[in-house]
Amino acid sequence: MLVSTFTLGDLYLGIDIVLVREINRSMECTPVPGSHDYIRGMLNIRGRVITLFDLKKRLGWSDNELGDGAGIKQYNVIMKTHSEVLKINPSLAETKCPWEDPVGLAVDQLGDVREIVDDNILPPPANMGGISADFVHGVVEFERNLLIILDVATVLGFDERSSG
Amino acid sequence: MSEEDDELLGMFVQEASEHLETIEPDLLTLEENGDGTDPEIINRLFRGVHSIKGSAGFFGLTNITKLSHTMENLLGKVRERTMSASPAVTDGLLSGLDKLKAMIEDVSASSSVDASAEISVMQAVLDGGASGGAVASAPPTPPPAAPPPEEPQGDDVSAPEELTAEVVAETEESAEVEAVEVEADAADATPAVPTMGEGAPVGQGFDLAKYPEMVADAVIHGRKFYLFHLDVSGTGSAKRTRFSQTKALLSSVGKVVDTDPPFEGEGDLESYRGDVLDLLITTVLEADLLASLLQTEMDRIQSIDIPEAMARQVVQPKAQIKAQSHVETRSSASEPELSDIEASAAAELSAAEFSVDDMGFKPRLRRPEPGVITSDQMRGRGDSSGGAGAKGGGGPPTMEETLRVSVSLLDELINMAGELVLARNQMTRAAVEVQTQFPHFGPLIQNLDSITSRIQEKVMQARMQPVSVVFNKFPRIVRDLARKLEKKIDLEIRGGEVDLDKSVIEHLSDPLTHMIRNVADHAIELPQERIKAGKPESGRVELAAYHENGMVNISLADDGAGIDAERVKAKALEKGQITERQADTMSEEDALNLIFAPGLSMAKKVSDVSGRGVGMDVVRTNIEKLGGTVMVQSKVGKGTNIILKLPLTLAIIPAMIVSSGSQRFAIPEIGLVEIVRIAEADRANQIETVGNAPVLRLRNMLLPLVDLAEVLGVTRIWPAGSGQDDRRGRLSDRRAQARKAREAARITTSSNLAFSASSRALVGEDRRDDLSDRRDPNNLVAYVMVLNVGGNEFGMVVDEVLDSEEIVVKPLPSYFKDNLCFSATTILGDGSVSLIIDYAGLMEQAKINFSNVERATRMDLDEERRAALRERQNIILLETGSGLIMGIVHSMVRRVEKISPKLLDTIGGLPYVRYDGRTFRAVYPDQVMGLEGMGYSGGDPEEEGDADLCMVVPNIPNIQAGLIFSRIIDTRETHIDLDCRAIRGEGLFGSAQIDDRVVLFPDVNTVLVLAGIEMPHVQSQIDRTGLRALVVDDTPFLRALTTNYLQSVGFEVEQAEDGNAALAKLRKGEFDLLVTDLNMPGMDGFELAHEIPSTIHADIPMIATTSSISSEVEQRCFKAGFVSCVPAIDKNRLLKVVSLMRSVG
Repeated sequence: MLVSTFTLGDLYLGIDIVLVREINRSMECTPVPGSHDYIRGMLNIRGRVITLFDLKKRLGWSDNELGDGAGIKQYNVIMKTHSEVLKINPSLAETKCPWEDPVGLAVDQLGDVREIVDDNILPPPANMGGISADFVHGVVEFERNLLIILDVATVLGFDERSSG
Repeated sequence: MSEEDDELLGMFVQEASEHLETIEPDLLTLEENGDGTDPEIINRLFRGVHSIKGSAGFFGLTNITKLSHTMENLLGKVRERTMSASPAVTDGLLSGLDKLKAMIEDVSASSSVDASAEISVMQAVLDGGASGGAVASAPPTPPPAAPPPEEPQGDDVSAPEELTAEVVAETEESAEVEAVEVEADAADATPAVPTMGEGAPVGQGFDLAKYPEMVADAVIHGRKFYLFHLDVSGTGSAKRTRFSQTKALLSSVGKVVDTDPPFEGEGDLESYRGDVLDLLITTVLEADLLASLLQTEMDRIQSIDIPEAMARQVVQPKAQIKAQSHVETRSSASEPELSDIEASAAAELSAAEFSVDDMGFKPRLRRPEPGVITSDQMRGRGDSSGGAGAKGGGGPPTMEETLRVSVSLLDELINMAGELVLARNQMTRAAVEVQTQFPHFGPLIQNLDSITSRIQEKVMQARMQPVSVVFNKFPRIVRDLARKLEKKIDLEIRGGEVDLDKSVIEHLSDPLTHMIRNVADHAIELPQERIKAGKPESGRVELAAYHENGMVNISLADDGAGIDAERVKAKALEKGQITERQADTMSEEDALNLIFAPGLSMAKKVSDVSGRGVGMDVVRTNIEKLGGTVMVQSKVGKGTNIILKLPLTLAIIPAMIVSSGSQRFAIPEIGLVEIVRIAEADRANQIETVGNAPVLRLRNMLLPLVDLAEVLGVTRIWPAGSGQDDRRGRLSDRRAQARKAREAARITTSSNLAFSASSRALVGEDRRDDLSDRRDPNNLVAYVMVLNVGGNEFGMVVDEVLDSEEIVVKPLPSYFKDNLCFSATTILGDGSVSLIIDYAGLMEQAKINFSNVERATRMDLDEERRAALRERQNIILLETGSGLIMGIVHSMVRRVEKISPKLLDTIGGLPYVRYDGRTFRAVYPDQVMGLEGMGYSGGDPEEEGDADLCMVVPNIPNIQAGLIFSRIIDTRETHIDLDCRAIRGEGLFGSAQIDDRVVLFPDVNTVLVLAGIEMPHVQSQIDRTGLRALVVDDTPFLRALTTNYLQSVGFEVEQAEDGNAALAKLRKGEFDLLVTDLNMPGMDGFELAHEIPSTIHADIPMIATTSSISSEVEQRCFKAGFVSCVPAIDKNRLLKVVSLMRSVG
């Protein structure tokens, strides 16, 4: 599969490109009072209201870890919705893309699009730093880098009742 | 295939429902007008039922077919006027319609629905009709086929007899005809005299059984068979021409199957000696269309039903496949020569194509669906597309061409139109710079601008539906209810064309139905009761929709019994929904509103129509959910009027954009009562604490306050976990933050500061501590949005009110669904996302549920309301000759006389009026005060000559004078918010706005003095110069009045608007007299009197003023230590008391 990659601090992360709708420079977003702290707010992208998740906070990074990244202009990875994926790949939509509302993830830097052979995807090692295994679909070794493929559904709070 | 079938079936259901919608009102019209009904309505009914039957037949929905068939038969009889439209007929039809509706709503289950009861009822009517009253209404026009009597032909015997047979056949119940048709052997029907002695319809001597293939084909293609009596009188060649003409006319829509008498070649026809040739025709057309096509009278065409047994043989699925393949061969169009059948298929195709876009339907699927192509549609098409297809003689009024578009597509369009607007806005902004270089750019942008606005408007309109969609079902409901309840009710519907957004329409049906049922059940009395009450026997109910103030009002008015506010109160009291105290003080309006309280049913007994006490509360909830409001007005014995005010749409709503913290929020204007700006200086007066809750004192009301930023935690800098921290600490943090923000000079600091400052007051901190803020040079302000949620008002404090915008409502992302405070999102003009506040949720979040917090203030509020009620002033509004409007408090007036100008006289250069044997000095207040010039030019000076004037005789003893006005405008009970600064003048208290007009309040005493009239007053002898008085009254007008009275005798007067303020003043300064109102919010007069001994003014003389004096009040006053208690506006009494005091003290 093709994976869209990006970095978050020192982490090298990837998302199945079928799930990605578009990527844009981080822009002004409206915070929603009373929401989870990992929800940065809402964006307007061509008339669609998109809920933006702060991926670092979602992964539970502490203020220190967020660190000096604050000044960097981030990128928003806007995800396709269930119904959009349904038109392209119904089985993927059912298994990997339960969210109906447009949603985006704030990340640090963009990487390349990588082709990945499914067989190379390994289960997450136990000693990963900075990310809980719950959020990881699998890892792939890439040029001595470990590419972590995100389980977006879990990140967005699906399959995990507690974070609803 | 099956998917396509489903799609087709869906189309059928949709269409059938549309037909049903028109059938019902038409049936009701039929019921009402009986035989006098417009034939077009009957035709429409017939066509509607017929096309349902046709389509249902296509899908093999035999139950629907059977039922609609019977209905059609019955309607056919009515249409042919062989049966009168008696109640039995319409009842049968209506019950059939109900069943039909039920079946169509659940098509898949329709086969298991038993409609035999309805069918047999109608059948009975049909049977009865044949022998009974139907005969009375014979065909209105004599059969035009009557042969000219001079025809010497030998066959002339048969022709008239055929006609008789025809008439008989028509009066015959059609099923019977059908049976006879099947039985009758065409062979028996010889060219010679038909065997009709038995009364059998021999004239139609065709047996469909003889043409099985034709029949099968006809069933598949939805063709019908007709018997046509072709007039072939004249010479042999004329006969032949007539026949071939007919054939030619039919060629595109059907064919001639057979003739009676039969003949081989057309040449044989020339030797035929009869005048009438019977043709068996098969065609897709309805009889009336066929008649117009053949240019003949309806009487000459008889429909022949396909025997059911034969129809059944044609297996449906097979038929479809056949039809489809047939179409395919057609569409390949390989055959150069079309058979007759194919020709008719072509006709179908062309008909189908007319409506293809109409249906939003794939043409390929569309084609083999003959039943759907009704004459109705073809006709509508024909009319609008310039007569293509069939000739549309007397079709329905020209319909606008319509398209069916899915709502999701429309929503997308709306979305994009919204985007377009944003893009336009950005463009306009950018254009400012570009224009300096390219001057032509401006007009381009303007053009874009206007087009964009229009697009948005039109797209929104596309979602609109007329309210008639909902209204149309009520005539039926009312009719049924009226029957059931044995009442007579006339329902009048107006404004059905008013458009509302689909989303609103959808949610309107249930509440309205409930209201209508209520009206029928409770409001309208039984006929005999109505007659006793001197009303017409049948109750009038009027349902109307109209636009008002950018909203749509739906009013339901009746002339029934009305709602007895007292009874409602009693009931609510009994149910414990209000306290006795509340019941006492409750205004009639509030009492009526109690009918919306849950569990309160006013029906004396529970019926199955209404009376269970669920309902009106649901009505209100539903309407409020739609962003609307409900109002009731009622007069016992006269009737009730319930008005629903609804927004045009839910997709775009007007909203106020406010800021709180540094964030902007949208507040729907629905429910926003008013906005109160609280300046720092007034804050202390207006905001106080009741219990623990901050409240705003607003015109004698205590309004619980919610601080938006605080509820949302917008500016909170501590993590959510430490929510228990000291409120004050948090506030000071917030203030510090606000300061920081100001230093950053990014945010409008004044508002932020104002906000934190006011919230300090909100939590009841000692205001004197707040000096730092007070000294702040910025003009500190906060805004209170007064909101109404389900009848409860509360205030929401925001920093700034930025704008009022029409916002496009977008759903709240599911991630925030558990957030109570927001109902939806929107995109503001600059493209940023904003949240729309949900009042009810906010209230809940802030934990001000009114049962809790307000209960603490309830007593107070009750007292307030009582006071507010009492302190309304009765005023008379008058217009002066110069067009000024003046208000005089009722109790200052002894009487108002209408006088003719002739009674005016001039004595010694001064005007006088002789009236009732006495002479009054006439005083023109506008002239006396020198205000003539201020009148608006709207007055009608020409009229003045002989129009009656009116003279106001003031309530001052021993005065023979009257103020002359040109007319009385109104009398009014209202609060007077007197402005003593805007308009000043000697003899003028001040001005106030009443109904948007400026009303001047003259000081009658001074006016008279100015006019040179000696005032026989005590106060002329008293002089209190050098003494200080404190006047306490919450009503500015009365305060000004009392002050004025005291000043007139030399007092130096200070004012206070309630007990607390008065005490503060008393503690600070020295006073010689205290005049206080008794009814005041906060600390009232009695409480104030109670506090007096604790001040340095322990023995200050106190006078109480009140607008409602009674011995009880007087006693209380004496007990409380007042010297006297005087009516609030009675100058003489007040001054008399003052003068007495002097003599005492």
